[in-house]
Amino acid sequence: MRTSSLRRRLSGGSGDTAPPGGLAAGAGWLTGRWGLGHAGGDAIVAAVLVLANLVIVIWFGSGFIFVWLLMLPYIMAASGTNITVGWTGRLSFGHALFFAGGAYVAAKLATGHIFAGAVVIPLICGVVAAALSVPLSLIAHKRRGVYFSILTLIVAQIVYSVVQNWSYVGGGSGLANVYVQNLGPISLASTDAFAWYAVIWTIVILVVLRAVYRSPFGLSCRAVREDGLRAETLGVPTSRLFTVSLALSAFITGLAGAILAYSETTVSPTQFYWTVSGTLVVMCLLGGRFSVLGPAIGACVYIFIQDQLFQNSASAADALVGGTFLLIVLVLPGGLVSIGERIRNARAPGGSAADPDPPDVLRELLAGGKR
Amino acid sequence: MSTLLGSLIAGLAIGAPIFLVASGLVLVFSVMGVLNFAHAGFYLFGAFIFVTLGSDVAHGTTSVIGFLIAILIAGAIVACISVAAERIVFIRTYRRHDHLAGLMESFALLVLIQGVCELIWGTSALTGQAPSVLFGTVDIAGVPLSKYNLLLIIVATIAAVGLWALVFHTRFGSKIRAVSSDRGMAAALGIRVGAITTSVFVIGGLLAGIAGAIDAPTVAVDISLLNTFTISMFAAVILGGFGSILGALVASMTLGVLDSLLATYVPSLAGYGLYIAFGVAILARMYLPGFREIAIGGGGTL
Repeated sequence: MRTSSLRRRLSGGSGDTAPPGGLAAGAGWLTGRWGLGHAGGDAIVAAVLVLANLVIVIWFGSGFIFVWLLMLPYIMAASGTNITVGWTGRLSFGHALFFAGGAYVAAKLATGHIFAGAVVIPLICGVVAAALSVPLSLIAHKRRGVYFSILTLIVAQIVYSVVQNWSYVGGGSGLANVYVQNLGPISLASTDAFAWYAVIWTIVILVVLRAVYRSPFGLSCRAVREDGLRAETLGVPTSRLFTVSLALSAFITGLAGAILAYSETTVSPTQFYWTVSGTLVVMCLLGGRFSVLGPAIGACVYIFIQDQLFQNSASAADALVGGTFLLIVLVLPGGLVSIGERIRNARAPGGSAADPDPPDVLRELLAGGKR
Repeated sequence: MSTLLGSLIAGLAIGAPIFLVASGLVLVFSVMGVLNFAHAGFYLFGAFIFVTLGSDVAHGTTSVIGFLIAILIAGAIVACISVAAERIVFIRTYRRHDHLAGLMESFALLVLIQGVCELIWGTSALTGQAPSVLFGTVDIAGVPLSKYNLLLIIVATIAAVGLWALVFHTRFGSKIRAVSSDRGMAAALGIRVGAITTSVFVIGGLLAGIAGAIDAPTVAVDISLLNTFTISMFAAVILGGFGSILGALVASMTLGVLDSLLATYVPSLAGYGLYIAFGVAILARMYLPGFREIAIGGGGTL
């Protein structure tokens, strides 16, 4: 089926009605309660981030701001990773490739003068990361499940070992002195200015992701996750969808990598290591992979917990993080954002506290088709 | 000639522990349909437990018998941990029939195992003790070969033959194969599927624990071993074609020998054996259609 006619068929079902599950659209649980639309949800997301940034910049000063400047790139990276992990349901263990790839491109471009570098360079990093995803898509083809996970893992590992021995990108020690370029006349050298810069990127990414999630493309991704064969029968071009969704996922993760490189001012080959991909996956699952804002919340919680734990008891930190993570995966498959829904289900007459089913996207896809 | 033989033996010795771990992983995968990310964690547990046994019960490793008993104890403890993991974590997976959930749960388990190991044994590298009789070389046909390498190969051979006999020539083995090919049908025929799954976890844990224990005297045992071993283990499984023990054997040994030959003859490429093998397999899969089934991702039953 042609994409255009599919788009026409799908758009009826998703544009004017609230997505099923409420929660699925990210801030739906907020906007639904107060009768706000999608734009209202975007505004809430933006307001929360701006407010948080304001409080952190003014109030906490130098102590917490470095944790915050680590959170922001990870919010973006986890949200980008979730397109693959949560939307299309392919557990990728290779997103470190895109994350670190973006960071390295930013590091290489940091010294040259590029027009509007502060805006253009992160976009270039995203594009390079998306380009990296294309051969991976070719190799992985339409495979899902275990095969895809292991394949992405190993391909990213290959790149890791190549980077480690490649002197052009600094070999084992990586590159240092990575700074963001000025935004026209505005200098982003100060920590506060950089925090605002990073927050604006985060808001843009989250708002765009929320829009894409509701779009026919996002709907198709979720349909493929629920039942690939049925979705294909309904006319979803599965193969192309996998390629495009992985490229989009890589683009956002790569862009986040650039912000991370600026935030840390160095890049090192360990960023390519598969455990970084693991961290991104943990963030998605922790926050909730069935929503747009879940991974963002997961990233904040993960980094906050890790920071607090390492300050207090370094050796027990990993065990506690691991234990918490296992508990959440077992007890709360929908992640932290599904707590609210579970409470509501338990309160509702006849409801139970059992796992809320992931929203039935296929039914929505069909409803869109019949319209 | 003697260099080549020595290099081959060293390669097989590298492949031996990889095979021990990968074969358990393959067994669990074909019976449960879950790729256990945490399986390398069982290997690490085996290594750490062996190190503890060696230093705390020092007399345990002065004789060869004591050494072997320590290895078996480590294997047995890890088998218990493996069963506990199955009972607590994986039992939910096959109730839910979710491929992805199993992978996520096992990954969460891996993070937990890593944290627990760090908590108990710390982050600095430890070394296992082995009786001095086992070190040094022995001349075979005029070629000096490392005794410990030969021991690793003997253990892997015993494990391979034992697994083959168990899976293909016993009643219990035919039940395992039945469950792996059709779980529902096997249950309908009166096979106690739960018991089979648990026993497969026992075997997998035992093999991984033994692999870790027997590897402990030759490697620096620390947390990072987990990450590197996970990669070799998955590479062996994916090259061996998911779900074939013979495939896992061939792939592990190929990886080991390739690594060893590269280290001997092309030192500049040492450590890349895994990636070269993987690149060749991917290209072969893309361009040689007949290669597809035997090389990567064939699935199927044992």
